[in-house]
Amino acid sequence: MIEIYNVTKCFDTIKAVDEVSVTIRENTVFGLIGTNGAGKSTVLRMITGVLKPDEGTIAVDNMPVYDNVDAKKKMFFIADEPYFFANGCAQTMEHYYSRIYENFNTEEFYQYLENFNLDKRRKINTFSKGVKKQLALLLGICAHTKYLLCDETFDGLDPVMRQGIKSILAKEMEEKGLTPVIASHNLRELEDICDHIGLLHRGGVLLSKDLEDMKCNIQKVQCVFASLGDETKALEGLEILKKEQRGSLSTITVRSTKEEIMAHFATVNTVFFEVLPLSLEEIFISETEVVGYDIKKLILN
Amino acid sequence: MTSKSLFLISSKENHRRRILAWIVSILVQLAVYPGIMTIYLSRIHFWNADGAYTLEKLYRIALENAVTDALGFKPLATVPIMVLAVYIAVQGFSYLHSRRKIDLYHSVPVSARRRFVVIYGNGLVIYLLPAVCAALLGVIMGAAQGALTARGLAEGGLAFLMTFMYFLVVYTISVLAVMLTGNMVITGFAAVTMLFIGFFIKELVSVMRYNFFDSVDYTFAQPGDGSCVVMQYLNRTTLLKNTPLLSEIAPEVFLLSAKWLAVSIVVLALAYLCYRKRPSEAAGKAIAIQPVKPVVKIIISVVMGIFVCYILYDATYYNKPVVILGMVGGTLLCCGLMEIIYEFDIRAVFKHLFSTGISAVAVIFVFCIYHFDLFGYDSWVPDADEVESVAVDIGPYQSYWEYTEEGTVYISSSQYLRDNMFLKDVEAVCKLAEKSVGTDVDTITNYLGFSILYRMKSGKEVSRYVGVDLDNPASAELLNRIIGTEEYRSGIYQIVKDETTLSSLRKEVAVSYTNGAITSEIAVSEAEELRDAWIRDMEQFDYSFARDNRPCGMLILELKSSYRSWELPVYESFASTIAFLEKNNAYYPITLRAEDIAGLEITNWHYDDQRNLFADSDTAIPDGEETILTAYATDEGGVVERFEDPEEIAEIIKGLYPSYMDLYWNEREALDHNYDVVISFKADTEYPYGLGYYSYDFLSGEVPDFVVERTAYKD
Repeated sequence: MIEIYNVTKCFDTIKAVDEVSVTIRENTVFGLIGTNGAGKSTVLRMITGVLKPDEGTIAVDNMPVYDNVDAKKKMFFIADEPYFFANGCAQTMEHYYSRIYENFNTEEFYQYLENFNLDKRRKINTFSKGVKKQLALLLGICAHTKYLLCDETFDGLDPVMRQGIKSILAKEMEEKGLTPVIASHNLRELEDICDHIGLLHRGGVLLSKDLEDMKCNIQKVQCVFASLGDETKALEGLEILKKEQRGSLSTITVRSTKEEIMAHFATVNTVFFEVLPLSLEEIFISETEVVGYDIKKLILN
Repeated sequence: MTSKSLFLISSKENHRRRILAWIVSILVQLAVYPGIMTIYLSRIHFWNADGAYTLEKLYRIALENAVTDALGFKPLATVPIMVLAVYIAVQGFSYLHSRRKIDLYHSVPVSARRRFVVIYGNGLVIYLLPAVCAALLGVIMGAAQGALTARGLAEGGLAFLMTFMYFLVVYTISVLAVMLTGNMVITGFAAVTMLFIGFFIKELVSVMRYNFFDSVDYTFAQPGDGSCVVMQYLNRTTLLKNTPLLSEIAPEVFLLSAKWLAVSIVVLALAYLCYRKRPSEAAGKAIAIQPVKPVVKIIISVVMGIFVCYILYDATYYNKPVVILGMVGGTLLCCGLMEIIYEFDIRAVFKHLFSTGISAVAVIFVFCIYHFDLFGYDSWVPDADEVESVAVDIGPYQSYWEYTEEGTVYISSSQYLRDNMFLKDVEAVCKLAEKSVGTDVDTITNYLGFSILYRMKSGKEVSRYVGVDLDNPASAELLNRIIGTEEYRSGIYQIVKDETTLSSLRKEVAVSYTNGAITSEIAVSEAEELRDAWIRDMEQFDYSFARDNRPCGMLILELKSSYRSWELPVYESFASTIAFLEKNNAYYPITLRAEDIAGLEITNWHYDDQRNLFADSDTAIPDGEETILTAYATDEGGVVERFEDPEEIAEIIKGLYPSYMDLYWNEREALDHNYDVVISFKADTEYPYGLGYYSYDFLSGEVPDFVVERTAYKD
């Protein structure tokens, strides 16, 4: 388990991460999402011991991570722009990592290279950005660490590769108890792989929940009211995150369970109402809009 | 895996990524050993083919020397080894400048300590392995030429050790530079600054002292290298290259190597501390460790301010307001530049004004130190109780030499005095120095300036230049206490201590006596007796004696092979010396005999007249004097007259003194420098005058009126 407690990190005068507390459970896929500059990469770099938190603690399986080799042995970090040795090839990188990570499976690595059609002797600097990310992921998977931390790693992959990697991750989770931690903007990609989501905004954690809980606790309701009075009465007592009006059709995003919403609307006067499922992207937009990250503010009137 | 095997694995992995460093190191070492060896040997072969070596033995010696030089101390290697050390250090730790590399290296399970040790240690291996191989190649080349000697091997070994230590200290300093910075270009600047700032500051302090203080000494002051290892290596290799005795080289090399090793250890500890404290996010920034920023800014800007002061001092002939404004302006400008570099942003020029203010105040304070002599540099005179002994450079010029396996080697007078003069009457010297404090030399007509080396009981050596008013009776008394001592005589006259020249090297020495016109040879076999007589007579010598008497002749001991000589004054009261000379038919009185002289040619240069004219040069030149002035300016102002009348000659020679004689102690008032007198002797005289002309001077106030009249300036 990775426990992040009240972690703060500043770069000069800028507070990149502000009192973040998150717990990453074992054998789950943790998705770290957030607005631009929210501090996702900084959090990942602190988890992997690259950066030292100014305040707070980070523990990996109850071990402090900064400057702790034993903690780092349990992790493999794939940065947003992974570094490969100058003039190095896949084989060079395998040589390096296999000597550093005790459980690195060389045979498996070369098998994956073959499966993914990657030449082990081709210089990495001739690879495309996406292929480099594939290679980094394969190295990370074959290192067989307990935690695999990926920073925007899936963003450059084509749909087939993405699916392939996801399958490998699922297999590793099942067979070896891998815990992937994935930071990404691509919420649609995270939605079908993550078990738990941490949402960062302006250096702080907006929420950290299981995806299912998250989806259960926020609902989108489309409804038509007969009168303004009915509408006012119907919306009383609801925690409304967002409301849009198109003609007589109101679309309301409400923080509540589906059952509670259904029960509530059954007691008020409506011409029509329907509870719709929310995508992770919609949840993200709703949650960040609440704290002022409003798309409307980005558009010039 | 054991930690040892992990270390080896890490080390091997690190080497794989440092192939370029290996290549550079191999190339540099090939140039330093086989390269230089090839050049040296080629020269010898070329000269041999050209017939330069008439004997086979000479050719062999030249080859051996070439091999020894190529394996030994090479000042030429200073820059390549320095560049190599900086490159290996920067290349090894350059990952700290890249966020992408840091993400990799700092996230993998390798401890910071192991990573540091591996990279640092591999840097040494990258230097050492090619160096050893290249040196061995050099040895093989030398052996193949049959020119490898035990001396060459020993010197090569010592030079190898010293060069490695030089590499080690430069490399470690460069590693510290990498730790303190986060950008490759800034690292380069930092490394160069850290390597040379000591030397730069020392030079600045030296010129500032020279500009502002009167008592700066240049005789005993050691050149110094300002703790700059590069200059130390350059100076020491140059020195050791020419040091003949291995017994002198070895301690010097071991001492310097130990010193550099100690410095390396301290710097390495600092570098490691910085490595551990350095935040990963410093990659790409100018300075990696925040608290270092203001310190570096203040030091660099103050040094630059002083440098501006030095430039403007000469350029403006010390226009005080301009110098002060320039100093402060230079400091502020440098502070602004440092901030821009720190932030890589021109808008940062006015950031951190507090440290800028400190820099400005500091540079003004430094100016005050020199301008007002706040620390009393000029007024410093040690307490006599704190001084072990002193040396002074008072006295006429002397040659000094020592004997080595390769012959006589010249020694500077400052070095000889430093090594041989140990005056015990420290109180007299200190009192003399006290009299000099605050003296305006421009108001003194009879002035003696000299340097003093104080050897303090603490082991420290301090030197000062002082000026003494010789017209002050107290000064003369103190000078007597200094000059009238055996320590002074044995310190300034090498013959007093030297036992070799007149015994072992007799065949090399020619001894003679001259009265300025006649030079008579003395058998070398008698020279030791002459030496003893002269040393006995010198016991009456002190300042008052030297001031009130003029030498009546000079003893000359010349080393035939090197044209070096000692010239020792003989006075009329030197009874033992003169008795010896008379016994050996070598003594001739200084007084000239008119009947021996064929003629005298006297040139009156009218220096005093011309000097007076120049003294009034800010006013109009007096009517009718333009020609004199012009003539003086073109060095054609002399009026020449020849005198052949025996009566006139008899009158003239009463006031003549040989120009050859040394009148160091009383020259100013003793001679009239307006006149040059050239005497031609007759061929058939009783005394053995040589052929040719002899130069004489008039003693002050001894120029006959008819000479003045006939050599007066004519239109």
